[in-house]
Amino acid sequence: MRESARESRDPQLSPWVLDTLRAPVVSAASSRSAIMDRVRCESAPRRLRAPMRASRWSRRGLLSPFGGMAVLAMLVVLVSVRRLDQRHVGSLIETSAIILGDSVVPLQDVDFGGLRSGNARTADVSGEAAARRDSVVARLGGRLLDTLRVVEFVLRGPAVRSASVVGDFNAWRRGVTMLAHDSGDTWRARVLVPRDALRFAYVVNDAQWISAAGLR
Amino acid sequence: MERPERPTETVTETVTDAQIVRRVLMGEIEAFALLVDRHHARSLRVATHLLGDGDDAEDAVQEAFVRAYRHLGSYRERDRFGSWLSRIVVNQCRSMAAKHRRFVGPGDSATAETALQYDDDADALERAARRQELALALSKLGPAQREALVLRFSDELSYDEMAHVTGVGVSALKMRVQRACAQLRALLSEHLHA
Repeated sequence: MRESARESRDPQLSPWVLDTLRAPVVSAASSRSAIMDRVRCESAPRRLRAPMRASRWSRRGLLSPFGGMAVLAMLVVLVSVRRLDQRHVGSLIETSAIILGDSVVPLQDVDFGGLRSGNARTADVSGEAAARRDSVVARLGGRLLDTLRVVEFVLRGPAVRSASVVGDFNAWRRGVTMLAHDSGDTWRARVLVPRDALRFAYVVNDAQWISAAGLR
Repeated sequence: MERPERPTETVTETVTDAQIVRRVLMGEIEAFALLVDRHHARSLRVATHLLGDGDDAEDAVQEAFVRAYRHLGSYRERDRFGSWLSRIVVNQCRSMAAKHRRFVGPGDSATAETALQYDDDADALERAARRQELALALSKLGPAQREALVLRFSDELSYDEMAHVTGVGVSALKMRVQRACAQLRALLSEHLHA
């Protein structure tokens, strides 16, 4: 009703214009038979059946409980295979962490608010920690030094697309300390690690965590 | 907005277009003649007003029906067959107009001439003159405005159906119809004064 009321507000045309527009047009006598002649020459049309999306199958009730269980079982199998594959990859990977030596760095590079390595920058220094550091540095004349250990993290294994190392020294954040592809199956990174940061692990292919013995 | 199927004057008046389409798809090709009988006059009227030439309109309608038959499998029963066919007819008219690089030429008065061939009394002569006058005015409208005006007043479609047929939004169509009417009134009054 509302639609018809709105449409009744159409601009008005003269009655003769409307009559002329709606008047039948004389057609050739043979036009309809010509259409049917052409139609008879065409091949018979067939009803098209486009593939339906899963939501439409479900809405129409065509996704039966059995079908749903089958789909669920397939998903479970896929997930299991993926996990087994990851375990398989994990079993083939060898890791090692070699302490190469000590390194002395100026105190300004050390974060007093939290642990921080030379290569792996972690969280930004907070305002309070920065003030504390500045006051200590000023008191000691900028001569305070700190000793960090140079640790080489090495990972060897097939099917590794990316590798990173996480630990106390980078607040266990993935993607901060990436291992570089060295040669063949070897991935390597040298990191300055504080003496009290002992625990670490590897993350392979952004998904799989491989724990390792801590640093001694 | 769905509109009920238009009644027909023959025995087949209780048979809907969708049922006829189903019969054609099941192999009864001759049932397509019923659809041609039902929709030919309306399609030809629209095509004639859009193209302004009786022969071109006949060709466009014939081609539209053949295409409709060819693609009958893609017709969905939730749509009105008339609207679906109108869309094909309008597309066919657009293609033909693009091919001939014209919609209506000022000298094309085949509609009036055709009418003159069949009618010879004074009223018929007056009707033919008016038809010619209107065809001339329509020829001066832009293609989009003419299409909107013809579908609205000649084919008597609702704006929703027009949107379905043309692929243009309802508000844009209303604006086109409004402007087309204003321009048509101006053209016709100009012509009368002249």
